[in-house]
Amino acid sequence: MSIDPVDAGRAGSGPVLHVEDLRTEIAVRNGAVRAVDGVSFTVGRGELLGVVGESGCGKTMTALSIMRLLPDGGRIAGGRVLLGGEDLATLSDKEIRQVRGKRIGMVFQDPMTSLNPTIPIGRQVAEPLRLHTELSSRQITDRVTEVLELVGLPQPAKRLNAFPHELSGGMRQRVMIARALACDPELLIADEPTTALDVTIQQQILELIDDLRSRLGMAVILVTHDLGVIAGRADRVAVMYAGRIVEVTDTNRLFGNPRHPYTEALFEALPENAAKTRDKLYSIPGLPPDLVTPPTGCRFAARCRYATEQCRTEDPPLRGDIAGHDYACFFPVGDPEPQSATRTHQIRRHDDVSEDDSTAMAQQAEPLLEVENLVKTFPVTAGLVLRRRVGSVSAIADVSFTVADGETFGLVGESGCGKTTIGRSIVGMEQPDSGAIRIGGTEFTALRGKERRQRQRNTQLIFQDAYAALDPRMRVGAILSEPLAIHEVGNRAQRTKRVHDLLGEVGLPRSAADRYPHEFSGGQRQRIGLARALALQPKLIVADEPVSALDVSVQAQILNLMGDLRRRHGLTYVFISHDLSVVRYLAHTIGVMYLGKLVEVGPAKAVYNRPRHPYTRGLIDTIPVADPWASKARNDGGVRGELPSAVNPPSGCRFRTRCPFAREICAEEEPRLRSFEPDGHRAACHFPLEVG
Amino acid sequence: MTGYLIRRILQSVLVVVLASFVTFLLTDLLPGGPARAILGPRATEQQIQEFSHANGYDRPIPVQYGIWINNILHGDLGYSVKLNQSVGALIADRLPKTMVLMVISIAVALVVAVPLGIYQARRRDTLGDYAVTSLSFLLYAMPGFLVALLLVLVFSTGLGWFSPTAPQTGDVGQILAQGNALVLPVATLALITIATFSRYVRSSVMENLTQEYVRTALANGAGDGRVMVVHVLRNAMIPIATLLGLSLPSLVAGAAITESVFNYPGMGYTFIGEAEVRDYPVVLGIALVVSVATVVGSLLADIAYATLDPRVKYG
Amino acid sequence: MPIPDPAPGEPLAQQDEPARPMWRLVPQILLRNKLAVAGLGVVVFFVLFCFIGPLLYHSNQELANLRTADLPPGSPGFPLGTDDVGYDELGRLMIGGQSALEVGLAAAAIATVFGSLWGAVAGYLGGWVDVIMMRIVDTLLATPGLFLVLLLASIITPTEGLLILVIAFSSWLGPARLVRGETLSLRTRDYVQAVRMMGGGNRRTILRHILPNAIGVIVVNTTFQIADAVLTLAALSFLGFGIPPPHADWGGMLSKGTDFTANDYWWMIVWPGLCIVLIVVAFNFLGDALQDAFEVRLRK
Repeated sequence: MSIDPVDAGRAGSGPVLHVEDLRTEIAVRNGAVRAVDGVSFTVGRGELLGVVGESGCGKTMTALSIMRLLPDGGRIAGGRVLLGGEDLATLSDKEIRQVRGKRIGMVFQDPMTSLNPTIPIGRQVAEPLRLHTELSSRQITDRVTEVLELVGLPQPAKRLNAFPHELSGGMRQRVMIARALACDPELLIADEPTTALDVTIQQQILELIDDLRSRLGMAVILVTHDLGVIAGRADRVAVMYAGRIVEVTDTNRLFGNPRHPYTEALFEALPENAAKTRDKLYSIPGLPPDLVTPPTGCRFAARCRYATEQCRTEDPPLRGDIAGHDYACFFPVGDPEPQSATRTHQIRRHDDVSEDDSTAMAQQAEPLLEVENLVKTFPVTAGLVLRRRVGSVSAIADVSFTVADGETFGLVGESGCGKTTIGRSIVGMEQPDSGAIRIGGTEFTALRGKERRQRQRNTQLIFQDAYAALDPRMRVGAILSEPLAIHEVGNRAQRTKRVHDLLGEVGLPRSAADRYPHEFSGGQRQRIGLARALALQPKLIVADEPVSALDVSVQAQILNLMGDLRRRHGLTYVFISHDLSVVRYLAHTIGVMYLGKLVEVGPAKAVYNRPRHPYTRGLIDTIPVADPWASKARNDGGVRGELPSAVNPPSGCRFRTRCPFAREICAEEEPRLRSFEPDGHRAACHFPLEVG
Repeated sequence: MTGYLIRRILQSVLVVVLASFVTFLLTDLLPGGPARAILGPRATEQQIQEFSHANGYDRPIPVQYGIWINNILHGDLGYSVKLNQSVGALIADRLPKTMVLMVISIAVALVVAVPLGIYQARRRDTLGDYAVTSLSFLLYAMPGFLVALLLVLVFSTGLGWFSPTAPQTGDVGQILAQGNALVLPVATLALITIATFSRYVRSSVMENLTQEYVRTALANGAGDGRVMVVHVLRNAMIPIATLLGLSLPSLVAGAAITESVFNYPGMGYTFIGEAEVRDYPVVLGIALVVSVATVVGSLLADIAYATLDPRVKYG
Repeated sequence: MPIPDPAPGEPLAQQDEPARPMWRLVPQILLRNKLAVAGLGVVVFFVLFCFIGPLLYHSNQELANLRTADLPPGSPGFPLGTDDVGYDELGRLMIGGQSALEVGLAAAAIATVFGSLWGAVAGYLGGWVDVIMMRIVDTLLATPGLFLVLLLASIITPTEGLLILVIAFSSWLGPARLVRGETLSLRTRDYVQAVRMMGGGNRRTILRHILPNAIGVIVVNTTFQIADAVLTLAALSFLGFGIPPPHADWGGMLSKGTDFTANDYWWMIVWPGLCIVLIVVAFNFLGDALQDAFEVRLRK
């Protein structure tokens, strides 16, 4: 439901929030970082404005500046923040406290740390009411219950005395939203509200925010790095880069006809846009500029493929041709006169995954990795000293699949599904309780000692947190030669040469060998991780969420690199991720896991275009896509409910508690993986989806 | 929770038993045995042998230990030849006095240290913080007896306000009545405790001030005061509560030194005095009591932690 | 009221520490901290004072001379006064400091080495080994250190070497617990797991990855240990369990001073007290600064 900004202005008495030339600085040792450097925008009543950008662009600082919640050393250096005519930037401390929680509500990223762990949630939601209203205790309790019900917390009256850690992630975020809305504010600011949540829960929360704003007529600012989240929900979008807004317009126009080269580059870096052709992703070269001494001229010029001399010397102002589409560029891309307000930019159809690779792979190649009936449970202990086993988590419950030589197998699922445990079992970091893992025909799990170490050379693991995976006290050169030293490969000189070769392969200079991990950026550290994994020339690399912590443009670089390495060395990947769009881009075969079970597996195209399992369907529907039309089309899909406990998984089919098609048999009998087509597409469901 | 409690108590008993065994073992290490220590260097071999035999010192150690434990369980902690008193009676007389000193000192220390620590955390890196931190450092670095001596020097000898010795005789009631004489001992023990406590309060509060839930409270419109009192303290005090329990051993030690300087007839004073003259039954008895106290303290700390922190589940 | 930092994803300001290994970086950061410099200065001063001082300033510490007893500071020939048997305070301070420093450093060194190894083995191996080793630690912790020390000191006739052992015996428990905790936490780090996954064995993991990363904690703890050891020695001497006279040490000097508080012979208390406090404060400053230095280095 999008409101034309002009109408928004007409409906109320003007926009809810009007930010004009906001400048925020943060003092650091050698100067001040100009985190927000001249940002102006407007949000109208009932409108959802998305603020999008990568790390360091200033989007969070902008949000915090509105609330005057800047960290130590931060201050508003200029501009105005008009909330219904009143300039928040000039209010006294006492006055701004009257605005916070009452006229503006804010929701933060991580509900676990953003709620006080020692105060029951009822009291926390009541806090703004206690601060800003004169209601009696009774009235406050009633209002708290009312607002908790509004955000969809089941049985709110009974939960008032619950503590945050007793609720699930999604529930906690609902409590946060309730707390922000308790006093019925005019504006809601949500800073990455769903980043810490599972994908299916993410969709529920976004839907909730959307629903609330239309019901309550609030204005909403949604800050995020995820273009997909924006595409489905926002009325207007502002793209930020290096402390400035570089493009702002309504959503359809932005996705249909981006004018700023940075926006265009962002779109081209998204894996979902390249899924069909499996082209290399566009990766923006270089790094964002230093904001202590920002460059003269356009801030994106150093990385822009269309930059000219003028761009480097003059700073383009934010202005637009048509009413409502503003951008800051001297030489904008896209169509200056779009035929209609709908798309002109070629949006590739996302539902079409490339045909050729997947099927061929599945049928012809030799199996390199065979996982058979893998089972792993972890004990749950209570008490500090004499730890007793009070239960066990069924992390992997009888999982089997095959990965062919040279293929990329994508293992997808949400938290607690067991994908990480499988990855670790494959490389030998976890010992399964039963089942077999065969690599190149050799059964792996029964090996011990020297033989096992020999076999371990064939499989390597890349960690999600690249920094944690590198010993901070060792130089990169030592880190890379360590695997060689452990397996006594070559002499010193040979190892040094190999280290240099490896660095070259991943695109790092030789001098990197003398430096320490903390001197590199996130993307560079992940390259080092890749280099280390390659050192022993493995056949199989398990990558556990390797790009989840990276910005879109950096992610593109790493994905491209992984693709190159695969082609160059004939590698096989097991790519573990919760991000289906990334997996879709890379993988030939996809396996979907839920609560320790493999619920569907098959060639990527088949699984994505013709999912059989209701969970897969739900997952596909909830992945945010950077395509407003596709997003809106699937806004009715998704998965309801919450993830059940892994200690006591549901009987029979583990997904039945959230499945719209569940019947009695689903609770009694566990479905087995059944084949549907000869191409190896299998799903475990009693009532698989029909595909036309 | 009760299951956890029972297990913890059993564990504590085990630890006390082990600790007592170790103590017992140590006292038996001296050359010539306990008999020589008690009878003195001039006793003849004959006398020593007789005495040893009469008191069972010539039997194997585990047997002696068993006898000792057995006696304890029957309420008999041994007999002090030097003081001519049963150890049990001795402890019954001295323990309450030590407790009076400790309880008052801890109360005073808490009342001062908690606000002080909060002040330091809030005014981090300002002149006020540096001043208080430096003072804390200084106090922390001073041995207890030095603090005591300086206090005596200034307030007793110098200004003549308070007496340099603590109340000597009488029961608890009489001691409390001589409040004037208690001031310096309490001040000594309190001061060294304040130094440690305020450091912990400071770091705990500081750590909590940087937590994200503080930002949420601010986003709701809460002021600094409310954030501190309603939100931060509730979280910051949890480790402090456990700290109290865990610092019981050093508090007891501090009390011992304080008693020794002021000649205050408490447990510590007695222990030191009797240790000097090798009066082992007393030494053992007091060591046992102190072990029990320490273990009880750590138990209380755990319980406090479990009660105060809702995230902790003790199945 | 300080406000928590913004959500992750916002990068910190540009890297301003150039590439340098830890053993060069830490002293750098240390020297920036003025308190640490002051502490270091004090320690160096005392080392010189106690060991070089007596070579330059001769005083009588053997023969009692009642005619020169109880003289206040400023008396001719006795800049800091004399004690009750006529020994010169200044000279006595110098010699007294020797045992403080020797015992302090030695006891701390032994306690740290022994305790760290104990804790590292317990933490790394885990399982039953850990349980047993830590139960022993808990048992010994159950008796307050001072009492344990007094007990031991009452059994033996104190010499410096024995005192070192006694103090070390009661203080190795701290490092043991600390290092065990640190080892447990390091064991779960990704980079340690990565080494094992690559096929690295226990020895390599402990020696090359765990210990170097635990060094920070160990070094910091050592400085605090030294401070505590000096205090414990002073307490022992004060209570009469130290090395018997005519050996000089600060605690003993304080003990003497106690007897004369009523006479207001303040110099017998203040000088030794000041020395103890200065040394302990100096090591505490160093420890705190080292803690900060290691922490900064570990931050991204």
